[in-house]
Parts: sequence; C-alpha cells; structure tokens
Amino acid sequence: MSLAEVDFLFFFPLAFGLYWLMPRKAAWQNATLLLLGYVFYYSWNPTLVWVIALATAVDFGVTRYLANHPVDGTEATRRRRRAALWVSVVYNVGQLCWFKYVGFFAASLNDLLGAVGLSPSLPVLRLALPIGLSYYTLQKLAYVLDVYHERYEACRSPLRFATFVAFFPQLIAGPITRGDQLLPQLEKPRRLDPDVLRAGAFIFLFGFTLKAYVGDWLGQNVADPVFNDPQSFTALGHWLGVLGYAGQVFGDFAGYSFMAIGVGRAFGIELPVNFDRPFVSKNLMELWRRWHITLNTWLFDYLYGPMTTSRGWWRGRLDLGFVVVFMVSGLWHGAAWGFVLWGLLHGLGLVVQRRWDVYYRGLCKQDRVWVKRRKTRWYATGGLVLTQLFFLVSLVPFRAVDGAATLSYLGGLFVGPGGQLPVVGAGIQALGNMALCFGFLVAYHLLGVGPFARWKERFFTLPAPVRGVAYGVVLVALGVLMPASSGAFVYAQF
Amino acid sequence: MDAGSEGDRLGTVEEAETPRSGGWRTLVVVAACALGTLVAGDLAIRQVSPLPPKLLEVVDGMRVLEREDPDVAVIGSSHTRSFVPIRDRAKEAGGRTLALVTVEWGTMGSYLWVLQNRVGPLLERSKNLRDVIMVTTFFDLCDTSTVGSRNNLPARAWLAEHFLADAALNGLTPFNRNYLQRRWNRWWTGSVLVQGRGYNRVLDDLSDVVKPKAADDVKARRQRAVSLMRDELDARHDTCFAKPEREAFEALLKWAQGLGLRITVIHFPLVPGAVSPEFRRTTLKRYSDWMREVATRYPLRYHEMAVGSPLTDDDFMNDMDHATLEGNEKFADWALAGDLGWLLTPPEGPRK
Repeated sequence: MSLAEVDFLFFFPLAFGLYWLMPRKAAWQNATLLLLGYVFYYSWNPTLVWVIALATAVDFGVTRYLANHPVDGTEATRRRRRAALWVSVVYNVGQLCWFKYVGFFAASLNDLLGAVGLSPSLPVLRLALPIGLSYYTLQKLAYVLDVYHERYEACRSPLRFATFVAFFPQLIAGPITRGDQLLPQLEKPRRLDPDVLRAGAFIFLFGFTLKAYVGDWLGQNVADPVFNDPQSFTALGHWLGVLGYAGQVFGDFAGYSFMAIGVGRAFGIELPVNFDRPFVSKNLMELWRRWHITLNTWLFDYLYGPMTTSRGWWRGRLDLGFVVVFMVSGLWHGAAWGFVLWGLLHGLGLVVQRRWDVYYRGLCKQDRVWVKRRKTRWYATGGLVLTQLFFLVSLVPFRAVDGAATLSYLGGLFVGPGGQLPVVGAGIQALGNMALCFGFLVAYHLLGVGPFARWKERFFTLPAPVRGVAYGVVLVALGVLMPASSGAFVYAQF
Repeated sequence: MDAGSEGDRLGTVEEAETPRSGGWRTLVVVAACALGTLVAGDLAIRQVSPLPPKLLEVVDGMRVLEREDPDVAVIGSSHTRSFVPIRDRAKEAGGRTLALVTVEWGTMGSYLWVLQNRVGPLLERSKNLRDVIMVTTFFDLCDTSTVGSRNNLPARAWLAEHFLADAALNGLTPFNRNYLQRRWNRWWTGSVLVQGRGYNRVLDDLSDVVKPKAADDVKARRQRAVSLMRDELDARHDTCFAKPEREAFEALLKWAQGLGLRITVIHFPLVPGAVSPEFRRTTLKRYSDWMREVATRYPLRYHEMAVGSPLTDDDFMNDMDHATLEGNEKFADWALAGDLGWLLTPPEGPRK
C-alpha cells in the first residue's frame, strides 16, 4: 500500500476513524498508530514484518542501555557506551547491507574477477528488500547517535519508540524524521484541529496532483518512451526525455513527501519538509538543501560533519568528504553502479563549486567589483542554468539501465540518432497535458518567490467557498487527466 | 471573511508557521464547496461523455443460474456477451434457457477458477443443466504473464473472502489490488469520472466537443486498429499455447465429465482484416488442431468460428476484438442457423 494507491482510499477512513475514536491519551493514540503502521508494513510484505520489529527492539535496547550508563568521565563507561553504539551501527548497517547490497557486491566482484580471467562463482543473493528499510534505518541510526551524544534523552516508552519507527505516512519513503522532531509529538495527546486538518488536506491534494498527474504523466509519456528506445529520438528528444524524467522523479518523490505531511497532519503529527522548490537552486549546495532535505541533512549531520571534523586523517578533507558523502547517497538510492556514478558526479560537482567559491572569494578580496558582479542577475541566472543543466545530465546514469545505455544517451543529447520527439505527433491532447505538467512545476516554483508569492497569499485570503470551488475544479481535472495506472511509487524501491 | 490556512505550510521552510484560525465552519464550507463542484463537474461531463453501459459479469450469470436453473451455461471471456441475442432468441423460440457467465479478459485458468470457486456449486445443484458452451479464442491459451488476464480475476470474480485470504498470505499485491479497484469503482457507478477512467474516454469525448473528429479520421483510426490487431495476432504464436492453461482446460473438462455435462467449445470470430495467412497457418491451426485432439478424449464438440463467419471488419467495435450490437445480431443469425441451431430446440427435461 502507498498513499497514492486505491487501497489507501479504504485504509485511510478506517485508520482516521479508529484513531480519533480512541481515548485522547497519548498511549492509546500511539498504540493505534503502531497498529496502523504494522498493518501498512504488512501490506507490503507479510513475511518481513519481523525485520522492522527486531530492528526496533535492538535500537530501543541500545538507547535504554545508553540512558542507564550516562557519561560520567570514566573510561569504563565510555567503552561500554561505545560498544553499545557499535551494536546498533553494526546491526543497522549490517541489515541494510544484507538485504540491499550483498547481492550487488557479490555480482560486481564476480564481474571484476571474471574480467581479469578468473572464474569466480560467488553466490549472488537476490533478497526481497523490506520496504522502507533505507528510510527507517537512517531514522533509527540518527536517534541512536543523538542519544549517544546526549543531544536529547532516550525515549523511555517502547510503545512510543516503536510508533516513532513505524509511523505509517513516512514509513516507506520518508521524510526521514529525527527523534527530537517526532518523539515529543508522540509524548503528548493529540487533538483534532480543523485548521491543521484543512492545511493537511490541502497539502495532500497538492502532493497527490504532483505525484499522480504530473510525475506519472511525464514518466509514462515523456521519460519512459525516450529512455526505453533512445535510438528513435533526436537530440532535442533526448533533452525532453531527461527533462521529463526530472519532472517524474520530482513529482513522484516530492509529491509523496507532501502527501505524507498531509496524512501526518490528519493524525495530528507534523512531519518535516522534504522538498523546497529545488529547481530554483543557483548552486549545487543550495540544490541539496532543497531536494530530499531530510536525507541530505542526515548525510551532512551524521557523516560529512563527523568525518571532516574528526581528529583523524579525514579532518579538514572537505573535498573528499563531498565525494564520499555523495557516493554513499548514490548507493543509498540503489545497489547499482549507475547510482554510484550519479553520486560521484554530484560529489565532484560540489568540489568544483567549493573550489570556485574559494577562488572567487580571492578575487573579491583583490577587487570589490567582483562582489558587485556576484550580486547581479546575470551571475544568478548563470548559476541557475549551470546547476540545473548539471542536475539534468546527472540524471542520465540515474535512470539508464547500464553504463552502455548511459553513454549512448549522453551522446544522444548532442547528436540524436533518431528522428522522433516524445509527445509531439501524439495529438493536441498529449501536447496540452505536457504543457500542463511542466506548467504546474513552473508555477509551484514561481509561487514561492517574489511577486508571485503574493498571488498565493491572496488566494488563501479568498472566501472559503471560492477556495472550495477551486479545489473541486482541481479534483475534476484530476479525474479527467490523471493517467489510469497512477499510484505506483518509484522512490519506494530506494 | 475566514482567512484560509491551507497553503500556509506548503512544505516550504519559510512558510512553516502556525495556521491561522478558521475553525470547523471554514473546514466544512471548503469541503462542501469542493464536493459540490466535483459532483457538478461530474454531472456536466456526463452530458458530453455518458456513463459506459453496464456489462454482464460473473455475478449476473450466477444470479440466472440460481433463480432460473437454465438448461445451458455459457462461460467464457468478454465475447460471451455476444450471446445475448442468442439467449433471447432461444427463449422466444421456446428453446433452451441460457445463463451467460462472463469472465472479462479470462483465460482457461480463469474459467476453471470461476467454475471451482463461484459457479461450480450452482451447476452441481442444477436439475436442468445439461450443456456448457465455452466461448473461447486462442488468447485463452496465452501465458498469463504476457496477457495480464489473470489480473482481471480479482476484479471480476472475487469475493471479499478471496481477497482477504490472498492479502493475508501475500500482502497487497498488484494482483489482489484489482479487487479493491473494482470495489471502489462499483461504489461510484454514477460517476463518469470514476467509470470513464482508464480508457481516456472522458478526455476523448471532451475533445470531440471542442473539435469533432472528421469522418476520414475515424476511418483511418479504425484501419490503424485493424492493423494493430493483425500485428498482435501475428506476434502471439510463441506465447499462446501455455501448458498451465491447457491443463486448466482439461481439468475443466474432467470436472464437467464428472457431472455428466456436455461441452461445446467455439472459437469466437476474429476481425477478418486482422487474420493473416501466417496466423491461420500457425497459431489458429495449432489451437484448432489441439481442440480437435482433445475432443477425441472428452465428450466435446468444437466449432471453429474464428474465420468464415459473416461478420466483417465493420461489425467490430473500435477495439477490433468485440462485435457491435449489430454484429452480435448477425452472429446470432448465422450461429443459430448452423452449429448452434440446437439451442432453438425444446429442452430435454430435468437431468436429475
């Protein structure tokens, strides 16, 4: 089950009714959320429910141990605490590697040894990936690390902790929530607030439109045809294909994140923001502060920061840190070399950007005119174009099936082997849909900036009936335009 | 005026502030107006794009079996619906009474499942039933992984208990999700926005209002559809003789034999323009030969009607698979004058 599929239409009313009919006590509400979370999880793969249950028990045990052995300055306690931390790290990372990467690394090693003339026969395991494993593993790891560093207290209630791990709106695809964001909310009883409910319904509708119409339409009609048969398309067709894929990935993932926030609000829980108009980013660092925010802040807080500020060899190696962090991010997205290449590209991109910043700061010190130049519209536009072009091109290895397909597609961006363009020729309906989808993405980005932001504010001051009619029109449009097979969620596989 | 707060937190960092108060009243007004617009929009679209007609399903056939205890059960894929004129004429002529059990997009495996799990008990109890007519095409022996027909079973034939049992075992899968999709659709039978989805029908009809299609366009589109169907038929040789489906058919015959039922199998007419000599020589011949071979081992009559019927390309709908209403009448005239003439003869009396 995902938030965009028909099953959720059956699940949500039952879950919502059950939750709000429970006594307004935190324990009752948490127990209900936990039950719903496990039903949600069970619906994906009944045989793997134990994975999340056991992982929850291990980390609860570790953090209780840490709470019972606070830092007291003695070496013995420090060692015990560190050992407890390693139990959690090894268990969580081990579980992730076992389910997600063992088969990939075995196959890669077989290929490598085969290439040098050996005939290896490492068994290649093909295990079913427990849904959401990549997300809740990071969530729990962050919590254990925070408790270890005594940033906040360990949760005392196993019920509350289990609910924190298995909160169903974010279970399969984030946002990756921190302990200090969600646990305090679960500590207090929640009440049904009409304003929060209304805000939740709005953001859910917005996310649903983004996912089920924009993302799915662009994926099915623009990206898939070109990536599945690039030989038939011109260079412009290749650019349209990758642009469509960017729209698909953004619509799919940002849409789902917005829907998760909306559903969270229906249960009185506020989830963190995961996307913030990434396509207005004027440099790569800004892009990663706007795209999959909760993953990137996780990577910088728990990997990049500790690594580059540690006392060891890594200290100060900022460039290498970028490369490592983004290769990890690539691997996190999937066990395939295309993802690793994508991560490597972005790591190197950030290195170039950092070096450029250092160089430019030097210019500014020599002559103030460079400071003025940096503030011009031209500089900003150049940054925007370069950043977005880089992002688009980097999506090719992310989407292409293998290295050869990546190279072929990248070549097609310059010299297209075929004569077709996606959508063009499929009639006025298809062209209209494409314009609407891209228009929706542009509008979302524009409505957050400058004078356009005021239009949005003005809309929300319109009388309630007018706003209601506007939402009704959106629903009718969705009923007419949404592709029939909307619902499957690309990012769940990560 | 109630200040809105829906967009206060459109997931952007700088907008993450506390929503302004609007209260339950605003919520109800917004929701009611949205719902009202949705209903009004649906009704307006229905003026341009009418609701699709109600189709005969498994449950309709079961109802007839239960209430009327007919002489003949006709089971098969969506082509079974083409037997409506035959059923009516047989009834008018004082001939056999027919129950039509339509398993949309079925294969032999689907028919066996429906017999074993849904209609079987009714057939076993029946006093009058002597004949089962199976309306098939070569598609019914296709490997289900290539035609997706198995997916239609939860949508068309499952009960809640079948869904719950499957979901408990496997979780929610693309396969059993079809049951929920169908339930959802059946709750909104009056909504064209729900019923018209999946075939781009509403959008096509709305486009027609803005810019009606020229007659040439319609003709060209139908010719293209015939050509696509020809490609489809020609491409099926490798995948449409699946062992599990053949085994399912034989299991079905054994079950019928056990009940003392006679089986008549027909291959429903194909759109003539799509039938190539290559298809006749390969896929169709293999299907017919196999049916005739099976007929030597079981009490089975096989009528190959795939080619040679009076139906022309114009007698088929735009999908080039199903006959039009006029086509069905034409088919009934021809079949009742020939191989299925026995349906016009009086019933033989109770079996038990």
